[in-house]
Amino acid sequence: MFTKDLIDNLLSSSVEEHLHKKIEEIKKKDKEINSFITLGIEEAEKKAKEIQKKIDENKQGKLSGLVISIKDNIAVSNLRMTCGSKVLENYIAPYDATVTNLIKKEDGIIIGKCNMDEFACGSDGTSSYFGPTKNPVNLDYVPGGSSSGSAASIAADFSDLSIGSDTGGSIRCPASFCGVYGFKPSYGMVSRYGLSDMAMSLEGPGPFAKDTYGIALLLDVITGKDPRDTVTIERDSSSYLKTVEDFKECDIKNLKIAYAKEFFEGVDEEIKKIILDKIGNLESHGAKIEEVSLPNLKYAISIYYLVVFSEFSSAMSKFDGFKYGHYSGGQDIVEAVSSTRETAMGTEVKRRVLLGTFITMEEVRGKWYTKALKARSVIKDDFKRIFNSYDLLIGPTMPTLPWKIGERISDPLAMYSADILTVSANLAGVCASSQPVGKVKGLPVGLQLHANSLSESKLLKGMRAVEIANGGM
Amino acid sequence: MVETIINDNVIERVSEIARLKLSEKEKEKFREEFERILDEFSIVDEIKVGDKELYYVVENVNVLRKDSAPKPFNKINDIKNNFNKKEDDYIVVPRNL
Repeated sequence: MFTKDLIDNLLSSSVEEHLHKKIEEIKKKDKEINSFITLGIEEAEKKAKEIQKKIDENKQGKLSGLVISIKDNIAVSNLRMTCGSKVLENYIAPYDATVTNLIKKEDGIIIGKCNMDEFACGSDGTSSYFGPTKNPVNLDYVPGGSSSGSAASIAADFSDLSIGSDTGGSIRCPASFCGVYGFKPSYGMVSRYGLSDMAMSLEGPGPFAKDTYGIALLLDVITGKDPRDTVTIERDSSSYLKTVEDFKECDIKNLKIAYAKEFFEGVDEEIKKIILDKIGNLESHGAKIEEVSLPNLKYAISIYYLVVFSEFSSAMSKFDGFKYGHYSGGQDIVEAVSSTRETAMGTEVKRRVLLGTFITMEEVRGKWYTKALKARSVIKDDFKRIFNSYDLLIGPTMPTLPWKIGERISDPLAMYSADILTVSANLAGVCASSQPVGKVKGLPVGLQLHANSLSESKLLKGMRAVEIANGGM
Repeated sequence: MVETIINDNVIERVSEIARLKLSEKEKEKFREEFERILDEFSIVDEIKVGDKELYYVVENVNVLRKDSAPKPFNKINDIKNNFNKKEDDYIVVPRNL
């Protein structure tokens, strides 16, 4: 296992040397890839020294000097936090998010803040005020979004692990496009304290890594109840890492896996072929595979975006330019706020703020927002029904391969449609993952697994099963 | 077509409520796009729904914690440093009357 070997190496060699290798790579290549908005090298070097000392005394935390990058909508104290927007171009976070705090406590080295679609509004990583991130696998292509820099920083070997956030696929999409592992935890598993979220009822932070082991390691550190986020849930004390380590080839036969034909409709033929081949490999290892139906999947994009627009327009109202962020001034308060927002927000952010304001207006909310909330129950019930009988739901992560940079940015509906296979997990609050399982025309293909809410252990077993069944690590 | 017609007046009103000034060009662009987007999303009308509005997916029950004073945030200056215009301990804003 890649991440396990890496930790073993770190314990016997030098954390500082490891960090410097990463910094060298970033200096060499990130001008082009653009996966970071802000680097925190000085602090990282200081931390590396401290951790080395701890390792020498055998007192290191679980992350023992691994280099970690963090999406720029999650607070790291004393570092700039922009959310990929001009709105927060000069905002310095005064405190640590809970995930940041937990990573620091377990001796992860935070190297910097990752590029992202502006306020997470995008599916391909090109809407950042700080310029698009490029896909390290092929620089002409998009890395996926919105956690574009997190996925790219792993794929380019700038960091060992990364934290992103997922509202409707923002971890799984870039993981799939960049050929790395991404994990969207169940809603409530990871604290959102210190996350500037796009849609509060859908979004949460989650890990990126190069293998299932790395995902489990980071999940062990970041999950659990946080008094600062009232929706977080107490988790049991079992170790995800141990779950992954203990899972053996012979355990694959105990998995009951569903696949839905709706998850393959409109999917690129080559992608379909690879995913079906991997499902076949699981089956030949004894996993029980059965077809189920998700009849409401075709409504998921509409329901999802109606909820997102509404929650986003509300979340964005705090950005008035007075307390922090870009400010353009004006004669009175209304003019000052309106022109501050006019000059600082990008097109997609404006689009969502306006649409969200419209569909929650008293006279139309019944037709749009309230209707979407009722329809959300329907999606949740569909998933509940499947997970009553199955451990996992399997399919592709993305319906298409990564596209060329600039290809979709001007057509919002084309951009939204890319999320068709990922948004349901967020609407239902379940956990879901993406892992690389092949390439088409040199571009990575991701396999998606879902498991029931709070069944992260099952999901990790599924990911490990896919690794083993396909001869990996 | 969507029943809710997105005309110039609607865009004007939404822009005002959202406190987001728009150029004439933007108004025109968004008016067209919004009709197209909402037209596509009106597919939700087909769904048979119940009465339950699902705001949150977690079925959390409120648990009262022990009533204790939280540790105060002590880096107040870091918050103040982000203010755009300040005088002493106050944020300066334009007049509101």
